[in-house]
Amino acid sequence: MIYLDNAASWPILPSVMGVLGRSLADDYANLSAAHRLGKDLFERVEVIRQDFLNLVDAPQGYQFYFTSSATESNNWAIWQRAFTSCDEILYSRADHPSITVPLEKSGAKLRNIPRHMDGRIDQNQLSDMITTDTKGLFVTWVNGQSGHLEDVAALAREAKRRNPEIYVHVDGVQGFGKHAISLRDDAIDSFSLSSHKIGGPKGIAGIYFRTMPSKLLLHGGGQEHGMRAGTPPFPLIVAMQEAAQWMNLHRETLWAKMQQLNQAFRSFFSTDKIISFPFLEEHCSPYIVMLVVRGVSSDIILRHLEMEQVFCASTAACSSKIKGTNPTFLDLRIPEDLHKNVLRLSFGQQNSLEDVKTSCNLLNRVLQTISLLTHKR
Amino acid sequence: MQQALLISVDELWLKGKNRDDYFEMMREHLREYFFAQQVGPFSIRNQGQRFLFEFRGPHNTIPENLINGIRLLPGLHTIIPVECVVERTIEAMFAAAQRSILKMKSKKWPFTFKVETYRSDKKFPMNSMEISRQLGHQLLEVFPELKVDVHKPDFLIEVFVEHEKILVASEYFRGMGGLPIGTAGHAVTLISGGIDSPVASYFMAKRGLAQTFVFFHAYPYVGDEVKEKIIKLVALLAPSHRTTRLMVIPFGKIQEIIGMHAYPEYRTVLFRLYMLKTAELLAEKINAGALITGDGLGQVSSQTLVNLSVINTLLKLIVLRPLIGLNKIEIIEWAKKIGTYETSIMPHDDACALFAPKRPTTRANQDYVKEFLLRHPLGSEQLSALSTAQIYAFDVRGHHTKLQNFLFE
Repeated sequence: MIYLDNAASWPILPSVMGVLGRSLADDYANLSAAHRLGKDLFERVEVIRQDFLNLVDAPQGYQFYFTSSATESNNWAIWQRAFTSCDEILYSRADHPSITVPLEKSGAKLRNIPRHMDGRIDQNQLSDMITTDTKGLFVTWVNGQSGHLEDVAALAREAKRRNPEIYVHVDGVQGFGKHAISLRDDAIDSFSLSSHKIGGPKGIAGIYFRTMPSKLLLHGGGQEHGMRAGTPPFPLIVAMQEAAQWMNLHRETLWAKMQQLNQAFRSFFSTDKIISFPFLEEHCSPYIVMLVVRGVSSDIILRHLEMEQVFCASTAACSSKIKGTNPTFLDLRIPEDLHKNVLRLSFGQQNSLEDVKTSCNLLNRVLQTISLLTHKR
Repeated sequence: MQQALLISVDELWLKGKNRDDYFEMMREHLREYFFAQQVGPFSIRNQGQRFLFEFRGPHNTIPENLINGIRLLPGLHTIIPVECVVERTIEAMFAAAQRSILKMKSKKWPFTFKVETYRSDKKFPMNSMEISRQLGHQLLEVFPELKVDVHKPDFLIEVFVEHEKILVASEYFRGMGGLPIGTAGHAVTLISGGIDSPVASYFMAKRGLAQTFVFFHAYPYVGDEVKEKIIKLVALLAPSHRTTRLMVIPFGKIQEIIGMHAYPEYRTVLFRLYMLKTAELLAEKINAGALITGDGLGQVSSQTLVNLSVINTLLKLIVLRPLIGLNKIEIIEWAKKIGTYETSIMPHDDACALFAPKRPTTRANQDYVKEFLLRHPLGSEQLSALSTAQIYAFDVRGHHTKLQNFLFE
């Protein structure tokens, strides 16, 4: 089996599995308990919390909270600001639904962040749009579909220079652990991350806040410094820490490996007649590669690959009779008639160069079969 | 006001010696239906040509959808909701008749009516003419805006004076007619997701033919979404069957082989041939005696007389094509009537469209098709398609559960 859908979820890292298993067995106490077992766990969580702050080079004042998913983190970042209809917000329709949907529900005046034709954020136009009325800026560090890697720290600095009052949230889910970031310059107000995108377990995620969030998330027993009640899942927390540490330690080697895989894939199809790469390698995270297969619905390819035990991602399956416009792709400047033909491969630490070569050959073969059959004579 | 249902059968008077068996099958279907609808305790009693369905517990109204469901049970002529009058007096009958007049008020007002009485309890002091006259007279006094029309009344109020109880009816619903399900045997229905095949299935169910449905799923060319649509369609047809099954047979591999080796013009004809061949294999496994398709003569290229007969000569089983002489518009009218139309027109991915040649043949060459079948019997592919089929069981309500594939156990 070759798993090339790592942007959706990573397989759990072996070292994380070990930590998680041990912790599930041993660390069963409730960390709110008054006895020694509980207190020990509580103290360990505070150490892990500090560890997460150190990982992103967060200065004094920043806080980190554990949540159950990045969706929860992103929602919290939005809700706690309580935007009104007078507030102007900059965001991307290409952001994850856990940002776009709550923003659309917030009633705020939403303006879409302008992009170049190559799908990158147009920084000059964006900074021109920021005025003293702009209350929020929501940016995605690495786009989960296209892999676009944005210099979010620079965007945040520029936004704060234009309007020091602006609230800047970064969706860091696809970037955290895989790319380096520093919150040193205080420009980012909140930053979300998720454990299962870096080889940790599902059900645990987190969010950084520069200052205390204006609204707490869950009322109850006052856990997470009173911000999010509910018994913290200690084994998941310690497993997420292991994943983050592991990623931090292997970041450079992973980066080099991903570049190798990505380049191998791109060069295999560089002269292909029907496969094209809409986005430049240098603009994107090497972990994700998006391709357009002209004339073939990508869900058909996905199913052919899955029959051969190769797994990737396609556009949400849509009927040939339904047009299937995708707001993310539209925002990324992919022409509408190609939305059904988009395939996404995303690499993880378990993938080898051999995997990529096998997949390339298979994809090639599958495309030949499909086009032979669907070719109108 | 205890409500009940008088349910009369359709064609059983045609039957001779096996009439009792047919009647019993009809009653079993009704019993299963009411049981599945969770109406609470009930009884179904034979009354000559009809059934009297009674709730054991108190029941003031009968929901319309309960009656509409019964209309999908093959073999029933009419369904008449009745009010049971406990007191054997003309006053009690009048009160019930008055209530049924008020019930009609929402449908039409004012209207013409007629009271008709059937008296099987000859000991009742008034005869049927006297009862009808008396009730009609009293109703006119209470509702002066109404008129009696003995020839073509808008509403007929029927009074059944039975030995144990008196029943008053004001509405009746036409059933599907035909014969009880299963009395004509068992067939395999090829369902495609279009408008035609559900109608074809309905027509044959009407004649008492129990069915197992097959859908040829062009996986991996077509995704799982289409399966949901087929499940919805079978669920709509399921009340006509006491229990039925849908087999989703993966067919992409076979289509791929045909696509690789056959003239593109012959793809559609050959797809159909191999689908019917595979259905025939299934029929053999489950002891079904016929295949049902929604073919209409000349409707599309594969349904020309030449193509239909080329395929037919290569099959062993009889293929029933109840829509063969219907116009498309007639089929659409039927689909609307039986309630499958809206589901049928939901867009879905169709592999045939994907593989369709520019000019499919309308006059397939018999020898070529035969030769192709000889060269590519695809026996093991058909068996493996059957053995990996996903199987769903449907109850009389149309609720489904997934079953283990049992075909090669």
